[in-house]
Amino acid sequence: MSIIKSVDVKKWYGDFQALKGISMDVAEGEVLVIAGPSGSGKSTFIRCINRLEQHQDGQIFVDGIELTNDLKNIEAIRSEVGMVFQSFNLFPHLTVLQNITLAPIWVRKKSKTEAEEKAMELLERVGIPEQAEKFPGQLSGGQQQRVAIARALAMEPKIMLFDEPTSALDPEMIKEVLDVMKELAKSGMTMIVVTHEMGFAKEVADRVMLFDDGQLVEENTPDEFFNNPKSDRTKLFLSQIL
Amino acid sequence: MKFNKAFWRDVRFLKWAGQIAFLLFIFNLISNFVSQAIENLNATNLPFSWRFLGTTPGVLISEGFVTYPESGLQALQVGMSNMLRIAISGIFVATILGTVIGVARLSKNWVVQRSSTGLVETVRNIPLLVQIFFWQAVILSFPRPEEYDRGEMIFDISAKGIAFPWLDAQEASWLFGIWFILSFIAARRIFKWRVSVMESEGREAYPGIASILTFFVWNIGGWFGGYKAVGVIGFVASLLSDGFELLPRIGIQSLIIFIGFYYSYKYISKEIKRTRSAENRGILTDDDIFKIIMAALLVLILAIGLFLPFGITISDFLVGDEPFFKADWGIPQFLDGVQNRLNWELAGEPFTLSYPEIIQAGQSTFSRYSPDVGKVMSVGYFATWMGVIIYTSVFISEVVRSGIMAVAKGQSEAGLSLGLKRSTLLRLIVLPQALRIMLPPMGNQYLNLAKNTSLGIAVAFPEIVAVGQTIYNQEGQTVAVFLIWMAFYSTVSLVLSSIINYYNRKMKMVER
Repeated sequence: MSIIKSVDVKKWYGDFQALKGISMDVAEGEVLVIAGPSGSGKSTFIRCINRLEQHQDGQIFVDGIELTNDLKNIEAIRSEVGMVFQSFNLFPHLTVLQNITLAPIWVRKKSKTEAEEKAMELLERVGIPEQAEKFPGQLSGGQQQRVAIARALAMEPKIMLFDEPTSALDPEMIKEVLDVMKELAKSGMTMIVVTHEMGFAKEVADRVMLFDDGQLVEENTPDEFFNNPKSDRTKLFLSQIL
Repeated sequence: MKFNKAFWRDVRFLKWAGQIAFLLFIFNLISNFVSQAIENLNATNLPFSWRFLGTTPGVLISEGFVTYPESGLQALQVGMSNMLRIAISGIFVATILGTVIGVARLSKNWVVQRSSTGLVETVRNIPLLVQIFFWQAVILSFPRPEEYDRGEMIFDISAKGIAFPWLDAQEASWLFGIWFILSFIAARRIFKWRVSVMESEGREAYPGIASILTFFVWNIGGWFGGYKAVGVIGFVASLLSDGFELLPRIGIQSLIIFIGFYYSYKYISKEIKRTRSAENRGILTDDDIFKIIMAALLVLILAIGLFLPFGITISDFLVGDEPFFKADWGIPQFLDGVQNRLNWELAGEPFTLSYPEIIQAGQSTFSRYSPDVGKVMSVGYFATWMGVIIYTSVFISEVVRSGIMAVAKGQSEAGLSLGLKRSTLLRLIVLPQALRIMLPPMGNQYLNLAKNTSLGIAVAFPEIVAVGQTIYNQEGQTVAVFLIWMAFYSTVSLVLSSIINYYNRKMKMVER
């Protein structure tokens, strides 16, 4: 059963059509990598999945609930879907621990001690328990992104969305973030990852998609995608980045 | 300190020489001005003196806590209190109004957004003085009170101002006033307590409802007698006052000198710690030495000044028969005053409600509002008050708008993607960060508002500048009045900016 399903999703910014009818679905536990040149609509699409952007036509179902203007549905879906951003977006006025426990306390109504225990577990999992009392501004980029992942995981989401999680990082820090993501993928989390890290796609992905000009041009297993692509656009894309 | 042979090239020498030369230059400038001023004043037969502060000026001040002041000092105090009334209430109202306008400018509702933008663009491009005249014209366009019979009044506007019902102070007002202030503290405590319950036990604890309930229960209970508990302050004050009489005078003087020494010690040791680095242990820079010398000088002056009263004849020589330093600064009198006002034997309702009335003005055919019942906002007060509030609030709205806009969009997105409600997001994520950006420019606006109240003189509102001008026109003590103005405005500004700075430091963001 698919946990995310989109049917002919379209989106315009003024005259510019960013999404030209995207239909796809993601099964539970699947790791999907979306690749594509900048401006191809891949970020826009995953931002539609938790309604940071609104699609104007078509339907999106997350865990069986359709995304509509109903505020209750939106909040329900957002608490099921974790998101990790390119620019981390940690809350700079809160400590690492407070960043992670904020949503469990205020949205899930957990007790502070319970939320903090869970947060320490997650920090352990992403490998930086010693940074709990620091502020985001005191951490390196890679550490900040790992905190952001822990923050999203603290809500115990069913789905994790990654919007170019390594694009703002120094090369040496990319690996530490990818390692956390690989571990997460192996644990059975449903993940949609927008990234340019083709190594990650080869190693971890169950499926790879290529977006171009607001359209889904190719959808394939990683093996086929890299070695035997169907469309010419994919061949061109691969020749440019590999 | 050892200088190089070519000392004129030595940075340390140049620094010291520079500081001393500049100091001498400033001293010279000031002493020239002062001596010139004294000479000129003597030539006009108006030697500088503070005597007018003690004599009765024989002026009528149109509004304030006293209308026929007994002394020049009291007249100026009326002006100060009038200025502060406008400044303090103005800061509160302008902050609220400015925040509303600022948020409205960010609204997605087209009508709301456009109209608030229009308001801001109009108001901030018109000089404040013109706006004050405008508000004066608005209120003067209402009919005069004698023009028609109004019968029983609750609320009234006429060319004489705005009259409204008022709670008149009674014997027990002070008691209840303090009780009322305490209710805010109690409500805040309850709010924090409920929030902590919510955080630690993970269940809805209704902090908002609980704190509002506390506020009402506290005050209603207070109104029906609970406020008398505040009398304990008066009791303590009377004990302290008795104790004060017993205290030898040297006790207080030494205490103050001790405090002076303590703070200068702390200042110096902080300087030393600040300049101490790994490779440069405890070595002070020339700047530090200079600062320490200045601090020590200040302490010395303070110490001499405060020790003078102890039987040293030089004290009488310097400060005369009634030495300021011998006085107890009215502390026992103040404590007695507290004891008289806050006393649980004071009976009766804390306040009584009275409604405005129109009475005949003297023997004339004109009428005016009775000064004894209700409350009247005079034309001058209204015009100045409205002027500074509207003018400042549009600038505050820009501060609020830029503060909110400066919080990165990603912050809201991150909060929303975690499933936070919009209100929670605003309260916990956006506002704490926006406030940090808003505070310093907000402080500037508060200072502007405080200083702009001086334009009240244009609509005959008796604030400190208007009163001061009346006084020096009468007494000829221009320099003295100017000194008082300067001291007053700088005190107000310093107090305001230190409050802002306190909050600013408290909210500073931790970065690497």
